[in-house]
Amino acid sequence: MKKLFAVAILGLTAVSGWAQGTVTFQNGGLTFTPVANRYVYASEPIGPGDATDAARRLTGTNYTAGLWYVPGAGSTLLNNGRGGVQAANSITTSASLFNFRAPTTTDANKGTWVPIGGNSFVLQGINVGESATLQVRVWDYITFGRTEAGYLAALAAGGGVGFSAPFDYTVPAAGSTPDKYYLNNLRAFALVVPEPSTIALGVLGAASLLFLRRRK
Amino acid sequence: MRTKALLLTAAVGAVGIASSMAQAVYSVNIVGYVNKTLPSGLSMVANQLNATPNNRVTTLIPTPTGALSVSKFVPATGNFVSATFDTDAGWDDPTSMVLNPGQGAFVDNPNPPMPVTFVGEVQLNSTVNIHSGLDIYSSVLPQAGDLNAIGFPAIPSGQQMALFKFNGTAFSNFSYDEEAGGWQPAIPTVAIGESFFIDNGANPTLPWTRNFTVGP
Repeated sequence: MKKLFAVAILGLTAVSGWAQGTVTFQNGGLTFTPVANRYVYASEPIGPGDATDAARRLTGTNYTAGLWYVPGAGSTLLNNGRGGVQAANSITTSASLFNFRAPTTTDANKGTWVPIGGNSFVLQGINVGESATLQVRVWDYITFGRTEAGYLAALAAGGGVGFSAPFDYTVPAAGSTPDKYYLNNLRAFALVVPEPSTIALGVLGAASLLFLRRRK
Repeated sequence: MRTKALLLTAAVGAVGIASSMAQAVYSVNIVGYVNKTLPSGLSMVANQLNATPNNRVTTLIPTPTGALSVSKFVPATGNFVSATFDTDAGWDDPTSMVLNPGQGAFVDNPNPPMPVTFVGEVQLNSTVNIHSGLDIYSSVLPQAGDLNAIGFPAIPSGQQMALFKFNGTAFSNFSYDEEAGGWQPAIPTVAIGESFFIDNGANPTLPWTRNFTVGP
């Protein structure tokens, strides 16, 4: 009985003082549970996440990753990579994005972003014990811009962009271990490679522009 | 939290002049005490002195002034084991919990801030093995400061690490990434008597060795 009391205290103390939920925004270098592939790939196919697929994992400091969420578990609102609220860094209390690594990084770090400025992100309005649906979004910010509008432009262009399958996250109670705050339900995903028809349309468009310019 | 540490006696005893060759024999150790105030609620605590006859929790804090629970993390299970003190029943310590220097635990104090005093000998030579995965650690020596000041080992190139300090309501996250320029958002600092979580990911064991000498 006393043990139960102690565990209850451990779980409940200070809950009231910790209103906003946080999540540790990092997809490598941590002890996730369960063991799974959480890398970002430059293109399909998604491999087993070991040395055999390191070359296909995303590198390049022109790519950036951010976190979006909607309240409640199992939401389908993020299914097409749009919508949701961008999570803010708990230190800067602003939207935060982390860039990917240079291609010279070690194999184990390929496909992971670099957490600079603190990896604890706040989920505004999601309290301890409540759940949210999260989504990681990655895009080429040098080409499309470093704002949500840049991400949407990349998405519209159909290349240099990718987003994870939406996944659930429940804000742990105080006294939980740090790994409960990890992106444990994140799974590997790959950037979108433009369809051949999209590429063909682009080439056709460019050729048309060139033709029109020459006629003038 | 007001923590006062005073190393009382550097017992440098010249036991005797052994011979006409004037070879001196010294008995060198450091004994002292650490006064620590356990705040109301949860905190992460470390014992940094070797007590007599052992470092069992029931030896370190034999008679708390109120109810108390000490919870130690078990990496193999990812759960805690607890020892609880009840003012009527005394200690209930089913696992004979030991808190050696270099280790740490969550302490839950449901009462007003509670002063405790750790008494014992400083461990001059030690190696704490920071194994892969998640665990609670502390400085073996009762020192405060940033990781450099407490002799934390250099993290091998290409490896990431995360450190989590409990601030009373939530964790403060620190991540080490060479490509982020080192520790982010800043190098962690710890107080005397404070413990913290480290996630060493899938990295090999990193030994944290301290050798401290006193006397002539």
